[in-house]
Amino acid sequence: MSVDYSIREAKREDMPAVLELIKELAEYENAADEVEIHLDDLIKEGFEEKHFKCFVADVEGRIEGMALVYFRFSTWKGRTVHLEDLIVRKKMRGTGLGGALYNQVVKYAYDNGVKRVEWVVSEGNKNAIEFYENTGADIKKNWYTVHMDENGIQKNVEKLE
Amino acid sequence: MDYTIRKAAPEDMPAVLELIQELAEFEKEPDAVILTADDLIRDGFGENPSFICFVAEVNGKIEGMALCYYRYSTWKGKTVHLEDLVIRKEFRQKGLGKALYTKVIEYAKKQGVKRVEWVVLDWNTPAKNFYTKSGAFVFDDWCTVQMDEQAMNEYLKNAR
Repeated sequence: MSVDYSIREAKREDMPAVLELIKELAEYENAADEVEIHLDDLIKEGFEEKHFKCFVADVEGRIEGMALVYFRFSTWKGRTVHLEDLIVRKKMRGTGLGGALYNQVVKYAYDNGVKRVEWVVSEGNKNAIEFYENTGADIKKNWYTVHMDENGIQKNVEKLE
Repeated sequence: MDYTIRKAAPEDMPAVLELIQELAEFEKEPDAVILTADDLIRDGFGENPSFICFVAEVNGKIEGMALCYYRYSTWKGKTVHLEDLVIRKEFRQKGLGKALYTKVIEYAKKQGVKRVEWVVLDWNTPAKNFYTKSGAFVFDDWCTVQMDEQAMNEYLKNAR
């Protein structure tokens, strides 16, 4: 199936649809309760504070996919681009939207002159890993992600007080 | 040991770069560092700094550093990412690392973020144990994916 679409930078008014996609991905990952972000946060932090940039796949005026990126800083390579999420609405998968958003992200990184674009993938997602490898990305199986959540932060700070 | 943990100044960047190089050697990638002290000064101290750096100072010398910046989670909003925490070899096991680690968590708390995050090498068991003990969670099923400059070039050539 192929569809007419355009890939463009997201606007404030796209954020409700973007939040829907974020929730769709969280549900897919069985983590719907984890989404604590609100529409207002996305608008303020994306368009006033500019903590991220978002691209959307627009199909006849409907947002059917999104990619959200921001800069990171490597002490080896300087600024890098991090792809936080790339989501295509379930019923629109296999239509080329994902590939087009992926291209847009790589192009954005390239145009910004960074030395690296990076993201994470679940070890079990073999299809994604194969796709990334085919596009020339390198999977670092030996680098684990570590998170300390609000509770952990709180506990550590309390110890100081 | 007497030490001070403080925010880094531009003039600390040559010492910070030395520590970055020391860590790269520990991680068996001695040639990976292409950044210069001037880059660090430009990117870390302008109007829109790309990172914030804390240093551990002992007798006027920089013996450790922690470098962090904001990331953005589509679940939690702004988060703090700890990119590097390095203690000069001769100064390990003296409390500097713990003090810098605590400083970063304190900083995250002050910024009101819901998460502080970083990565760890799978073979670095002492570090993993330390993180877990301090209340962090190690995700051993999430891999980092990186596409470097050359791969981006190649990819875009084919994608056009």
